[in-house]
Amino acid sequence: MRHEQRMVIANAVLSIVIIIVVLQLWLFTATMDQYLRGDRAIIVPAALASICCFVLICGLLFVYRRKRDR
Amino acid sequence: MKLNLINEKTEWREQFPVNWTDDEYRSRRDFTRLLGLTSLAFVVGHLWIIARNLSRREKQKPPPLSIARADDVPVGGFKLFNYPSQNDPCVLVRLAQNDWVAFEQKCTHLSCPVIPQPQQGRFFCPCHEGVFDIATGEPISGPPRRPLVRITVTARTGQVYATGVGQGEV
Repeated sequence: MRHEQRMVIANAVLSIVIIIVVLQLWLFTATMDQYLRGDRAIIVPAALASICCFVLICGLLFVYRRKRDR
Repeated sequence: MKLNLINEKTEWREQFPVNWTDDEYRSRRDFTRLLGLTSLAFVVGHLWIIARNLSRREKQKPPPLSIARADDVPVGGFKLFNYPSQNDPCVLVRLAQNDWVAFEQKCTHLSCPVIPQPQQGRFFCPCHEGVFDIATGEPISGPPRRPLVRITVTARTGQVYATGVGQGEV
C-alpha cells in the first residue's frame, strides 16, 4: 500500500475514533449527571452503549491493522 | 510551504534523513491507539458508576428511625435530625397537618447546609444563594442543578419515622 493511501486510511480511522470518543465523553457526563440527580434507570443502558463504542473502536483498529499488514 | 520545506534539498537533510510521511503516519496511529485507551477508560468509568449504584442501593435500606413527635413540629415548622448516620444532617418539614417532607440538608452544589424557609416555600443555601422547592427539593434558582436528596418519612401513632434515603414520595 502506498504511503498516501495509508495516510488517508489512518486519517479516516482517526476521525471516526475521535467522533466516537467524544460521543463517549458526552455519554459519560450525561450519565454521571443523571446518576447524581437520582435517576438510576439510565446507567445500565448507558454503560452498554459505551461498551458498544469501545468494541466499535477496537473493531476499527483491528480491521485497520489487518489492512496494514497485508 | 510545509511541503517545500520538507522537500528542500539541503546538506544536513541528506546527512540526517527523516521520512516525514512515515513519521506522521506513526504519530497518527499512536494517537488513535491512545484514543482507544481513552475509550476503555470511559467504559471503566461507566462500570464504576454501576458498582457505586449497587453499593449505594444496599446503603439505602437503613432501619427506620423515630425522628420527632408529631406534636413537637407545628404546621410550617421544621426539625433537624441525622439520618441514616450521625454524619448525615437532614431536615424534616411539616407542610400541612398530615404532609411531611424530609431532605438531606446538604446543598447539591457544594454541600453547604441549606436553611428551610417554610413561609417562603423554599430551602435557601446562603453560600451561593441557591434555592430549592420545599415540597419537592427541586432546584429553583442559583447554581444548584440537582434536587436535594429526599428522606422518606412516615407519620404514625403520633411519631414521625425516617424510613429510607433516596427517591420516593412520602
